[in-house]
Amino acid sequence: MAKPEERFFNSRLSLNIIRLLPIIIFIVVWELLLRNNRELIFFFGLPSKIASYIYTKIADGSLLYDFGLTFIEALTGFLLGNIFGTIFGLSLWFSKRVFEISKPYIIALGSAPIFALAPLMIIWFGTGIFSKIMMATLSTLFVAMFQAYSGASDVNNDYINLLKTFKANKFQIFRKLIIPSSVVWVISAFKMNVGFALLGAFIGEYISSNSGLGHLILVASGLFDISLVLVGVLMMVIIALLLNYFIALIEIPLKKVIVKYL
Amino acid sequence: MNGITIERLTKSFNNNIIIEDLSLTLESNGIYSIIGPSGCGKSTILNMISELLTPDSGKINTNKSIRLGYMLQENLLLPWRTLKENSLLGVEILNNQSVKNDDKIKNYFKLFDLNGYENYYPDSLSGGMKQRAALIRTLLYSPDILLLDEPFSNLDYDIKLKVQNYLLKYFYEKKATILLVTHDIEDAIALSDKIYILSEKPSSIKKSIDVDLGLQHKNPVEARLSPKFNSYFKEIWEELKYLG
Repeated sequence: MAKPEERFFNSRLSLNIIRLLPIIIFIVVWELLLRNNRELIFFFGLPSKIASYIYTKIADGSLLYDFGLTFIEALTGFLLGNIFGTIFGLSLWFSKRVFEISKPYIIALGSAPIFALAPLMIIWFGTGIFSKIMMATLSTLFVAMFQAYSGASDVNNDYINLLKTFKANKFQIFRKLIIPSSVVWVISAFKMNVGFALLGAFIGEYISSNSGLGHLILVASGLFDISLVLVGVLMMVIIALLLNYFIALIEIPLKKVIVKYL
Repeated sequence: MNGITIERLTKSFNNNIIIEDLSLTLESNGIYSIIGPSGCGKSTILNMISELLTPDSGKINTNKSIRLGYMLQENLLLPWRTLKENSLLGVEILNNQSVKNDDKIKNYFKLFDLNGYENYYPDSLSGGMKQRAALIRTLLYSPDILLLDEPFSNLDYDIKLKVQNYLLKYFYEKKATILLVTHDIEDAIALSDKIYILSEKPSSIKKSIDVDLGLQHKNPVEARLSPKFNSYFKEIWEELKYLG
């Protein structure tokens, strides 16, 4: 029998409660230290002010609109970048030569700061939602592509030989072996790309837009309203957590579906 | 015809000659073993028969219409597939679709003492269990010629005899041809019609021994009890021990 306190620490509910403690302590200390000091509030904002902003801006609908817009931009870009990047990356397995030729381009484009292209995206695709989606897509595409190819080329040659003994053709090897064994790499690309997609959408909004969380943060920092800036940052974090949660949800079903239907 | 003839096979890796001038004949519906010192290229011979490797020179003649099943030395179960899904891999590739021949699969899992483990993933199982699953995968493919590379190496003695018993049943029912690569002299005598002993590198056939234990039907236990068993053992041992 475990001691009562051990059982408490081992249960999942108590783990979640304990996890919340540091942030709660941080917020309480922040509030108590700064609440009577206007100068420090100017620099660092105040939790109660952040809370009241969230309340009023949810009430007037503007926060949900900004949140939703940035979320849709990041999510659409995330999906487009990851799906096309993964398809391109995996297909490169079919031809080593094509990969050898395209490798420097993929590395160059993957390491180029896509965010430097933001002004171009605005010029090409306008100041609306489309340019932000393109930013998010481009920020994720090359990461997904390179990860998918790395996964595909990492497959142990012995497994390929095994499938060849069953007289599998190249396409069957691709379906039965290359795709399922690359899932781990592809999922890790998804995880890396949450941040990139969000940053892409944010930068697009920050440079030119009239709504979205990037716009909110730009306006708030122009007014030196740190609490409002932090509201925007908090919302971005929530989007990142949501996307990460979705990825965790699909990881295992994705593997099962691939084994069953490919 | 399920036979194979191999004529004057030579294969080298990085200018290192592994197999030189090797010839042997496997007649239809026979069981053959290749025995030799480790690292003498036994697996390389199977890899060439199954066309995973191409010989530098020489010829391998098989009937192109027959189905060849090759159980490699490592089990190579795919970690994302359950044992059952793994065992169906060959059949899936053959039919280009998923097959659910449940009775047959169930029977195999029962025969090989894997009953109840159908939905386990390989990394939670022992080496012997994985090896048996790999053998099921090869047998479900229903090959006319079976190439087996050390198929009993991870098995406990009792399970080994069970598996060998079933293998012989498959051999008689399917009228298959079996080529077994092994380091185990006893397994070779108990199962084979003919044993080929390889020389040291570069390998060729040093000696071939026809095995006749005077049994009507092959049986792994009765074979071991046969009075002739020991004399074959001695004959092969004499050949092998000089190889170092």
